[in-house]
Order: sequence, then structure tokens, then C-alpha cells
Amino acid sequence: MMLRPELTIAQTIGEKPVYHINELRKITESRSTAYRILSRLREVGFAEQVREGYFTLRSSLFQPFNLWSNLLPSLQALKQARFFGLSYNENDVRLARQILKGMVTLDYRAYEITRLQSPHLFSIYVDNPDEAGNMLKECKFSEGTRGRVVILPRTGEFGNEIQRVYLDCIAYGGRSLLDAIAIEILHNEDLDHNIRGTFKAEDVLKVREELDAQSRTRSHQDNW
Amino acid sequence: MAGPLDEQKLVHLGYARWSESKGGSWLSPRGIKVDFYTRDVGRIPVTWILDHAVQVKLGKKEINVIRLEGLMLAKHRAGRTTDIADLRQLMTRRGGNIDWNLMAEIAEPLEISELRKISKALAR
Repeated sequence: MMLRPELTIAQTIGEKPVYHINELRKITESRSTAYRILSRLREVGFAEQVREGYFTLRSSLFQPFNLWSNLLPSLQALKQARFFGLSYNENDVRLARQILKGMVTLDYRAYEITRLQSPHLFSIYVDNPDEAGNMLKECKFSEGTRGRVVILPRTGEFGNEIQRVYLDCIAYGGRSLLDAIAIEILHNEDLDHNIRGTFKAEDVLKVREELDAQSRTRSHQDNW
Repeated sequence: MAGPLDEQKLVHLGYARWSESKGGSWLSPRGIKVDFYTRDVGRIPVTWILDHAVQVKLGKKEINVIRLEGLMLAKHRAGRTTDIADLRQLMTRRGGNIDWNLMAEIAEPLEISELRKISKALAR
């Protein structure tokens, strides 16, 4: 898939919870250009249409263009994410861990690596999403939009697991950006120095502060 | 809290001031970072938050939390990447449950118009 630099025009729209096509129209030459750009952004995985005329954008769109190609496999996998639920609580995650084989990423893996944020979604890369989905359904899981178990197809590079989780967190965006920052702080040496996200200073300071509080908690517990 | 922070009481309870913080951040006896707000949260008066707090069950305990309208407005005003993601989630799941009369008590007309648009687009 070609990532065209002209798509970066969408970065000037600014971060908001939801957008109307007219807002994109204002920064492009024409209505047709706005629709074409939105269509490309949806193809890549940056945008999602929510209602007629309305769409959302992942915060990863606002990362530098030179990082986009590294985020593409994660974005493509997230676009094909399938959600499953049974009890719609932590028990689903415990059960899914027993049923599915694959590489865990995002919330749960980030929590194992950083202990920064309590995990919610259990996202796992599997070789065969249909087979994995059927295995969950055999155990009475239902497929929908609210489930906490998320099956992702394996796309792209998995040689460096920490690097992949880091890029997945940046691609997912939102609160996962804090996980990416924490991974960069705690596992700097495991990451490719040429493939780095760009983060706001206030977010980096917040994560540093949380990690610091966490290490004090650990030393406090050790002293007890 | 709807009054001045009793720092001596906190120290007595084993809290320690979070040295890096300019505001009301403290470390609890178990090492949890706690932010105390005494005047407002995102320009929403603490008295309003306490008067309209709702009870939620957390395990066997019931705790008071800020109600939906206050939380959404605070997130909207904060406007950081994480707050935007939180507001999107809140609107998607609970956008249809907003009490707009209550929202009008704390939000500016322009903010209400923006939040209505977001709710219209995202609420399931």
C-alpha cells in the first residue's frame, strides 16, 4: 500500500473526538478531494466512518510521516480486529489465554512490560483469525463490537517483540500512547533508534512521574 | 474535597507530599499517587461535583464518583490526546444518557453545542 505525503494535509485538522466531512473539506481544495483523502485514510487504518458524514481519526495520524510506513502493519491489523466476549469481564481474558496461541500485544502486553496502566482489551495476534474465532465461539464466546478479547491477523514484522508492541501502541493511539512512552523509557535499548514516535512533553512528563511513583511503591513494599 | 486540604491530617495518616508536583499531588501510605482537588476540576466547581456525585460499586464497597456530565465536560476541556480518547469512549457508550439540563449548569453554550455534535455522531 502506498502512503502518499499529500495525506499529511489531514494533520492540520487537529485532534478532536469526531469530525464532519465539512471540516476536512475546509482544508482541502474541494469536496471530492476531501472524500478521496478520507477514503485513503480509511484504507490505511487512520480513519473510521462512524455515521453518515462523520468520522474519527486515530491519534497516530499526527505522528511524523516518516513513521507511517512502520505503523502501517499495526494499522492494517487493527482495521481487521475482531472482538469477542462471553462474560464481558476479566474472566474472558483468562479463558482466552487458555484457548488461543499467539502474540499478545497492546494493553495486556504493555502492562506486563511497564505496569503503567491497568489493561482492558486483550489483543492477540494469531496466524489464522478464522480458526481462532471459531475456537472462541466453540467456548460460547460471541463476536460483536464490545468484547474484551481482540483477535488480530499477523501482518508485518514480529522479529523484535518489544518494538512491535511499541509500534502497536503508537498506531492504536489514545491512552496506548502512554504505554508507548513507558516502553521507550524502560526499554530504550530494545528499540530501533531510527524508528521512534513523537510525543508531547506533557505526556512524557506524566509517564515519567507515574513510573517514578511506581518505583517508589515497589521500594516501599520491599522495605515492608 | 470541598474545603482546604488539611495537610497535617494527611501527614498524620501517612501521606507524603509528591515533591515534583506544583499542585495537590500526594503519595498515599501504600505508594499510590493521589491528586486532591479543592476548588475545581477543569473549571467545574468541586461543590457541584460533590452535590451531583453518583455512587458506584467497586467490589463490595460503594464509592462516590463524578457524574457523567461533569466527567465529559472535564475531558472535553482538557483536550489532551488521552482525554480525547476517553471522551470518544464515553460518548460512544453513554452519549445517549447525557442530561443536557444538568450539563447546562456547568458548560458554556458553545461547549454544549460541541458536545451535542459529538454525541450525535458517536452515541450508539
